[in-house]
Amino acid sequence: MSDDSSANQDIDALSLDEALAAHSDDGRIVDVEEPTQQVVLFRLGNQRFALPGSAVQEILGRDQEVYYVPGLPASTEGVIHLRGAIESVIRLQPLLGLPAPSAAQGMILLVKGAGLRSGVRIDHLDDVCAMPQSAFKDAPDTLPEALHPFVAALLHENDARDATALLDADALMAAYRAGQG
Amino acid sequence: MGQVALVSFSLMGARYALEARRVLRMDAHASLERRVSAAELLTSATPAASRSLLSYLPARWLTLRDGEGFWQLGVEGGVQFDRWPAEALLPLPPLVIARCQHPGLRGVALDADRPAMWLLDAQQLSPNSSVLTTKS
Repeated sequence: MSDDSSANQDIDALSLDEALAAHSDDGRIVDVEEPTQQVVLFRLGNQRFALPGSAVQEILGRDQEVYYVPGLPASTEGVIHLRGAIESVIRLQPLLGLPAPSAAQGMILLVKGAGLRSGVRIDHLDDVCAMPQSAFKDAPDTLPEALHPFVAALLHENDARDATALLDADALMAAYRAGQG
Repeated sequence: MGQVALVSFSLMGARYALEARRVLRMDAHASLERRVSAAELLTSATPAASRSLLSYLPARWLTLRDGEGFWQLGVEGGVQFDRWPAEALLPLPPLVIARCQHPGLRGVALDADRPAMWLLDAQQLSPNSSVLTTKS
């Protein structure tokens, strides 16, 4: 090596780790191997909820024709004709102890749980995405009593101030069939 | 697929149907002690609806049969006999069956040109299902 190169080493000497670290964004360590769970994020009123992607078979547009069925509770909006089969459309607000839904109608999630399948009317579809398992936290005891049986976990997203309640599709369907809501 | 013969009638803005082979006859007047109006049978669980029955008089009486013998179901006018393609007759999902207060509601007939028609299982209907009785 020449004297010039030795001098440069003194001035710019960096280890490889330091050089690479200088290019990292903010020092966060992202575990790319962390398991993820697909979720469907939606809102009922101004409250944020999620259902596991495995429980949502289909997302239907708001223009799906719903037939009113006489003799059903208000929590059942009616039935839809979907490719030769009839599916119910329910509203979760009564079951979750939420205010009655507004007249505005959002999309319909076709949800399966407890051996049943039903459309679930939501107010707004936010996203369908994969969330890392570390984002799911146990539901706290401070949840409203009506929500407790149906919230499997709380989902904390980086860019959201409020946590999202991950709903248990099996518990929802079983409760509805049993006459709740 | 084949066709199914149905006897349909209107009730409070909705259309209902029974399998025609379960309807033994139709009369303008009630003649059997065991009888009930469709309005009472299908809306007795709804207090508001029951109150509106005070002015209701069946226009036709359909004779059906259950385990206790013959009985009559009083219906409004607009009784029709139609044959429907089997593929247009669809069962209601279990969740609806579990929550529905209408006795015997089993399915729906859907046709692009007609409003939805609700299919009743005559074998699950009985005048005993209603608290009230109808005087013709």
